[in-house]
Amino acid sequence: MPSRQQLGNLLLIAPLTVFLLLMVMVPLVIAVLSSFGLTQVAPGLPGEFTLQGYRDFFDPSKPSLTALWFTFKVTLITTVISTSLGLGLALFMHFRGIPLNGPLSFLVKIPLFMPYLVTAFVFWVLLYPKGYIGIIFKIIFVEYFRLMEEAPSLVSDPFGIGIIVCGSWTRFPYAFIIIHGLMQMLDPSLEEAARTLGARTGLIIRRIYLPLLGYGILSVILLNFLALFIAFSIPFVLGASWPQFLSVFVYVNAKDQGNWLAGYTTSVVYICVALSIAYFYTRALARARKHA
Amino acid sequence: MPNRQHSQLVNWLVLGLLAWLILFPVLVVFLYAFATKWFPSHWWWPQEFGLRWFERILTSPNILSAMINSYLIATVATLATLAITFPAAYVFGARTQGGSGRFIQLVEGFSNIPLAFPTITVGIALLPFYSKLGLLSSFPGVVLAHMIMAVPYALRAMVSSFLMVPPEYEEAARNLGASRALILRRIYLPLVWPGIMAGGIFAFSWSLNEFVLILLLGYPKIETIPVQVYQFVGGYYLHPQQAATLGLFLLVPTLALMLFVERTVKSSAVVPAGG
Repeated sequence: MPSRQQLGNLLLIAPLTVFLLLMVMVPLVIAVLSSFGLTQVAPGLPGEFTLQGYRDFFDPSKPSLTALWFTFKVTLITTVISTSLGLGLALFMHFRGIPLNGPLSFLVKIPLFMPYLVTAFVFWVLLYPKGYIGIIFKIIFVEYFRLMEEAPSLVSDPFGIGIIVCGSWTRFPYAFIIIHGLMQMLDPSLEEAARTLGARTGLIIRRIYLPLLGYGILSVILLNFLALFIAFSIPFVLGASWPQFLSVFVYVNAKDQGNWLAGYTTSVVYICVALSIAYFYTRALARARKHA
Repeated sequence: MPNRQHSQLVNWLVLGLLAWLILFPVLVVFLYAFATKWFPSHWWWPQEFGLRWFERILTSPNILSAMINSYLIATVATLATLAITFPAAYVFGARTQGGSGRFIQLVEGFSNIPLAFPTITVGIALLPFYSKLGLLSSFPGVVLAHMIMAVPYALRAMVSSFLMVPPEYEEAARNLGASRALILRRIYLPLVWPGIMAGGIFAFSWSLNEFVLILLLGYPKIETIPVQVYQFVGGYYLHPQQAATLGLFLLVPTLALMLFVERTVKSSAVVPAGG
């Protein structure tokens, strides 16, 4: 028999619970059931159990695996660049004794606060052939050094260059803020002892900071990877018509082409991958807190 | 002495490069929005500045309606998010509620799940559900959809605030016979307002910048600023200047709100603005 306080608590969380059930749980169940063909909520779904959607998704001759691999590759490159930039900047500011306060603290957060669609638009404008970066690239590599006959497309390109550049700009401050914050929590006597014994900065970073920040850096890598892996606006505006980012692939399949079975199957695979990354992220974060 | 000067110079160079790297894309939005003449032969700087694009945008009924929709949806979604998350944040965060049971812990854990969801999959899954309920391309439908991602951010900001309130305050009020509603209103509300404000700002900012859910569940009947911006860069009629001008109506409020959070609430939470 629940106590009066417990009943009161249940009443207080009731609106949120109902909301989560209706707006998160029900759609999730619909997506999973539909991916097995068990509903008829959208055109093309058979209403009976089938694994056709998953067979198609994992068929190497179909485009889904290419989209997944492209998404994974582009996200991984962007994560490596953004985390390296963030780590490098955090180490620089720490060893140079530059405090992160006032305008500098707000400045580094600007890319995180920028609306994704506006960010995607800005990079489209910068990278397209008539944009600042597009023109400067052409002047340096085509006209001056003559390394190529014509400038490659930096936006809507098959290598995802636009997505990588924009994603790295958006996510490097996150890596910087978290790693810089973790560095401030480390015991300074460790560095002092190493310096007394004659260790140089490079050795201190390699032997003291990197091992102690390991789980923190891992959590940053996972969160940056997750944030980019599930992004839509940036690949939608900056991506090529093929290969497509997985989020764009889901949109095109379901909304534009009316292939709902493929749309739901891809959604379920997408959710599973994203939730696995989120799980490892929470574990890495817990370990980072324990080590700090 | 020269070594010290050299070191200072390197510091300033790196910080200058960082400022340039971050501010240049932001400045480009302003440059495109105010440039009225820009010849390709003089690509490095516009030849004339003015307010032509603002005039064009502010006299377009479609865009004006998109602006009203954006701010109205964001306001309603924020208020509704705060209304359902405030009581829940009290249960999850107040230290007088220690060990509040497995079901409550389950709900708290589940409320974070949308953060790891690709927004596109939420939209695709909601489409048939909305279609059955008649919520497709409706104002309440769009507001509810925006709340999915706003709820976890608002909840996290508020739970952190509730955690900081000493439990003795509530215990003392209870001993004096105060009801729960009175305790929430008179004790917690004044103490956790920074968390409520941070949560509200995050929810507002998320909703204002949300793009994919509107595209799936609201468009074409309900258009917002992000949809209009996309039409100027990804649609058939490419117009970067108008996209930049319209983008400022998203960018300026978002940055101003975040500056406000940074200065007053001092929240350490970091939220991405729109998927």
